[in-house]
Amino acid sequence: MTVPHKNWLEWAVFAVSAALIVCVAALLAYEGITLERTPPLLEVRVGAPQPSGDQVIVPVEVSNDGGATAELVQVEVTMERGAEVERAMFELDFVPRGSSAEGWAMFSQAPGDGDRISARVIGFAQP
Amino acid sequence: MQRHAAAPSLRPASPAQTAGVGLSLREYGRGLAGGLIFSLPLLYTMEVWWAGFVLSPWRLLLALPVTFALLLGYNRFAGLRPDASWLEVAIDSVEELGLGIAVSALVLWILGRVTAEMPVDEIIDKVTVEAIIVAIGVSVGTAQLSGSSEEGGMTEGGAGAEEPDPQFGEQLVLAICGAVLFAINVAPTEEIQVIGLEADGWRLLGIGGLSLALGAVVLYFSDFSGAQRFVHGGGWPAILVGLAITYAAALVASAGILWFFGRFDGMAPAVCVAQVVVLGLAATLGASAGRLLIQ
Repeated sequence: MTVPHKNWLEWAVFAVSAALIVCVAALLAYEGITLERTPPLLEVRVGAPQPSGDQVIVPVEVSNDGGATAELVQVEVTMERGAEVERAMFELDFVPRGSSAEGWAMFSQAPGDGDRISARVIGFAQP
Repeated sequence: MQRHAAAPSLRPASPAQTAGVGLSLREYGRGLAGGLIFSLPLLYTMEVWWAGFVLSPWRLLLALPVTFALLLGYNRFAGLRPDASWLEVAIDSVEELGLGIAVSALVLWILGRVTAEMPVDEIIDKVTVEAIIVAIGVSVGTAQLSGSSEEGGMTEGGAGAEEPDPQFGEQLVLAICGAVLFAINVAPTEEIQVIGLEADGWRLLGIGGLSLALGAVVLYFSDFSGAQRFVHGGGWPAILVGLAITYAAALVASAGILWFFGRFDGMAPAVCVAQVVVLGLAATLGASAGRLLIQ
């Protein structure tokens, strides 16, 4: 077969395209090789509370180090003020594998000294 | 309506001349516009973004050669370049897939679906799913949107009379390509699954019947643009055979797309079949009307 006549622009587009395809294929293959077929492994990190109107909001980051994406992730956040416990919760649509997602919990009062805020995932669906 | 069959393409098909850079730029512009026209609905569809991080990377990787094969089909048989060699067709297909990746990445970034903070895996997965769809749009767009007088053009009757009879293989490839082009627009949505889960046998039979009726009307009875090139009399037996092949191609394309988007995962066989039949309606329109339009 003869090599088709193309101008420099067409060859450039072809070269960039071929490079892009090779890169994407290589990255997908690498992901396939390194990805372990494990269930979602969700970890929760509580950030610093900040005022929001007359309430307090607490950022919570959920990261997924497992090999599968978690869907409908329900996160429960509790604030313990001595014997009193205030609960809040939110739901994340998706926490993709290897990624993280953030939500906010709302409480009626700011935490005082010695008060403890903790968060945990209480359930999720497998897409 | 003008058709450009058998007219010289903007692409330098003959080795004798090399098209100018301006000409190539215009063609890429057409390809980009076409890619966006055919794929924009899916760039704005949540299920498609989700498919990126829900599907296995191997499935996404497998989609690349399959898409490439489809692009070869579009470019060889729908690209209206009977004189193009397979090497040129392959080079064009590589360019279209590359443009698909670039456009998909750019649009997803502009829409905020892909950000620099995301892990590379998630970005690549999302971009790949959308790139497949954009690439098919680029291919069809490049061929279909050309309206420049430099390409000449013939009236429909003239083209039909001068062209040789379409080959069976060519028609089958075009039917599958047309089916994919149409069906992929609705396949990733949850609606197909919902309809498939809720439909009983009679409803599915009705959907199948409607698909066949639409296919028959488009291919044989409505004087659809380009239909006379495909249909050369033959009476009822020929019509039934043509219709059966078209519907079969549509069902195969439906099943392939649904499997890719994970719609069969964990589903009972009956539900899988129901989804194929539901999507088969869109695919049949593609395999009949879509085929006639893109060829």
